[in-house]
Amino acid sequence: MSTAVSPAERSPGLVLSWIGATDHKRIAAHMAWACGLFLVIGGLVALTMRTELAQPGLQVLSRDHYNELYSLHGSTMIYFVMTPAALALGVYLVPLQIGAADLVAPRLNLFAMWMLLGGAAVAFSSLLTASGYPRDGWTEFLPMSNDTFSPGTGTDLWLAGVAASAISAMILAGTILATIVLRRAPGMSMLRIPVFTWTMVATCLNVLFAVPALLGALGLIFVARHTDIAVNPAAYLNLFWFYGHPVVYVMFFPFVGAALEVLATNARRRMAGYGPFVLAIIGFAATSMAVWGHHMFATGQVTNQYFAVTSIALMVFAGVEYLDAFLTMWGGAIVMRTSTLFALGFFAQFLVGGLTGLFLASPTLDYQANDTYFVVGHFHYTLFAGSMFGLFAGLYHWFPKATGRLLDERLGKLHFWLLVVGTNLTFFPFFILGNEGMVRRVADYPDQRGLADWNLVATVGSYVVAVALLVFLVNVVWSKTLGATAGADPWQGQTLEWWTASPPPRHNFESLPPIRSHAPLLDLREAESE
Amino acid sequence: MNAVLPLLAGDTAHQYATLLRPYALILIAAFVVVNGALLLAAVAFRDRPGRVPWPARPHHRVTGVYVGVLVVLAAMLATLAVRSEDRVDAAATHPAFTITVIASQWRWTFVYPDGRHSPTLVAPVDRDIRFRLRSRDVLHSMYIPAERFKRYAFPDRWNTFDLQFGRIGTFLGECAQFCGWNHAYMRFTVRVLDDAGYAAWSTGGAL
Amino acid sequence: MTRFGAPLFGWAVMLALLAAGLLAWSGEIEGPWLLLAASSVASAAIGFALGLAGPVQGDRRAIPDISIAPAVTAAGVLVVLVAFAAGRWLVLLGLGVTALGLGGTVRELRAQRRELR
Repeated sequence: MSTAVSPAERSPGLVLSWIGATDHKRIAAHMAWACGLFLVIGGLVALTMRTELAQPGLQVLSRDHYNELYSLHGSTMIYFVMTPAALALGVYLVPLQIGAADLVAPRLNLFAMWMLLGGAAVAFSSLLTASGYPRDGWTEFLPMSNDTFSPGTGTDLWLAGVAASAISAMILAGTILATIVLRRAPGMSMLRIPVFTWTMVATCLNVLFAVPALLGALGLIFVARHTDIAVNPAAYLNLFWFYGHPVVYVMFFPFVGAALEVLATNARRRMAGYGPFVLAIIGFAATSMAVWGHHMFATGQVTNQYFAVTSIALMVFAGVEYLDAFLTMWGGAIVMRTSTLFALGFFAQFLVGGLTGLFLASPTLDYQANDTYFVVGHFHYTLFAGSMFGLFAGLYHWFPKATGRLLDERLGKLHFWLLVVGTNLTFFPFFILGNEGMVRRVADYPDQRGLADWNLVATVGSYVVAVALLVFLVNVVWSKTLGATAGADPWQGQTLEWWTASPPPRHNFESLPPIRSHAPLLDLREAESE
Repeated sequence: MNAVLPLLAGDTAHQYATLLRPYALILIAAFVVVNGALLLAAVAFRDRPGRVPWPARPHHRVTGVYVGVLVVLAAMLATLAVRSEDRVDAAATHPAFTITVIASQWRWTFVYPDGRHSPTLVAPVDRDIRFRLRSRDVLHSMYIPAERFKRYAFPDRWNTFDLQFGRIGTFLGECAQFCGWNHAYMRFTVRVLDDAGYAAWSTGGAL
Repeated sequence: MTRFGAPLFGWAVMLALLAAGLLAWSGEIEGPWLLLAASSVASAAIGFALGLAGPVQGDRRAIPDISIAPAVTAAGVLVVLVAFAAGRWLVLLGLGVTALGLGGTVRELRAQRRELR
């Protein structure tokens, strides 16, 4: 275990803590609050969009404002919520799970945190410019995003903000990976690190290899906007999607790790299939780098069949993860806490996203579904009804560790059921709408064929989602100060983070138990009961 | 001649419907089996007073069989997908004629072999028609829901593809790639006529 | 070679196989293939470097609990990035602030080394 000499403990003010705390736990907590704020912003934007789309015609927004908002929604959710949230979970948990005192390079991580927060502020600030937020979505394809078709400073501010968030992500991925490689406690070989930490390995690899392509794509937009060089639109598409596909797994891997750990802990059983899972997650991550062409099937610019095959191949790796979830539960004694419900919800609903993804992996079917609401339904099932449920499973599971207090279970279950109803009511109609030919990124749609009815259902669902998230917010704020005390190990956890106090001291561990598997605390309990 | 062969180049809607059947079957079955199994496990192994979790043991055989099944399924889906794509993207050997499509902010222009410019896509039924698609400005995408087909329009290159319209009638066409302020309203009409009707139109008649 | 070098080599091999597959299927040296091949080479290089580095067991460090230098550095870098939107002259201001922040970090590093001696 690495030791660190720290100056005498003193309590800095809130402002100083936000600006300068080098403790990975504080950095992660601050990132979490920031991502929560950005989630609220992105969510309110979505509610506004859904309110407009409830009926055909333009009631609430002009075309131009709608185009700003849909771009703001996507950019915020991907660059400033789900990607940093995935990394923040790792920033908090990885040192605790591997028995380390802190992450490698704390000041660099703090720099990365400020690049994220500052980048978000810069990107949002484009709303205040005369040209406004760029209209071309989180993807900002060329030539639409060049200075002819998107004049003004709005796009340039967006480029700066997104570039900053990209740099932030790469730094955090690098330090998390370095920490896993260099700071594991004695006895913790790579095949004894917890499942969640393995998913962070996969996440960090994807970030390190994919995000440079995003910086390249942003650079192409910059070149197109500020020089006379003509940029090939297909080159931009290839470069962007080379980043754009792996990043969706960045927004998935940590949450499947969280869901599996929650299931194993709450089933009071060792996770089944740890070895196959390790192989699957690394294979999943590697293969996910070679599927990006499926976003470009309808462009006629890539070898469609190759990308169809690699995209379909992903189902083998995903299937192993589902098998492990099943085998872990089979023979367990599952406590149906809120975290369990969210973990189960994650697996059940992500499956819809995964299967519709298989649908889209076939070019013939994709020629119809691409750029329609079918795709929008697909990725909201994977990212929201899927990954976000996994995030909530993790939050209910690890909130007590971070704060020393339990989240309220009744509010938690209300949050869960409202969100199940809300997400399905909102996003299932999207498949129907896409099938009926409704395209995406539109402020309005043809007044025909039941499009209006299903849009109205989706809008109602989005309001249910909003209520669900409000319930969660209330739960967090209330429980943080008035929740029941948690103690070090409220769930009979299996991994090292449950060995130390809640919240953990500055350098995490006063001592460590013997480590002989990926579930050291479970080993101890089983040895004691013999 | 065309009517004799059941699977024709560019017959995109038919290819879509043909592929959809086995695909949907497999995907829906997978949903039912996987979620059913998870639900069963969650219910059957709920914590009850006195319940002791089973000790862990390796599951090599189950995992091996399961992975084998997944690989077979993936191979099936991939084969279906690849074969279908061969058919959908096959170039017709003798397209009846070529329509040049120019997409621009925010309208569509269909240019016929005789040089006629039309805002409406007028086509004869049951004939292989070649399309050459390009944009005058930003990326657009020509999408005809009834054909189950779309293609991007690039400003710096042509996209060529063949379509066959299997039904007489009036259909909706849309732009599926965000292209700016009026993207939501960048629609066009597809009028599919019988041979006589099309001949009348193409010699200068009205619709 | 550390135990971690092996998975990264496995990653490189997988990417190389995927690149080979794309090359075989498409028959051209095109953009996608180059991207994939580059990833594969890069990950092999990382795996090799990590293997050479060997395991590092904990270092004693005296990192302060509060450090404002990173926030200052980030502010400077952000100003440089924004300069492309708001006016190139801002680059100078941004670089100056970044230098301030980096200077602060250097000062802290020196203090750490003194404390550990």
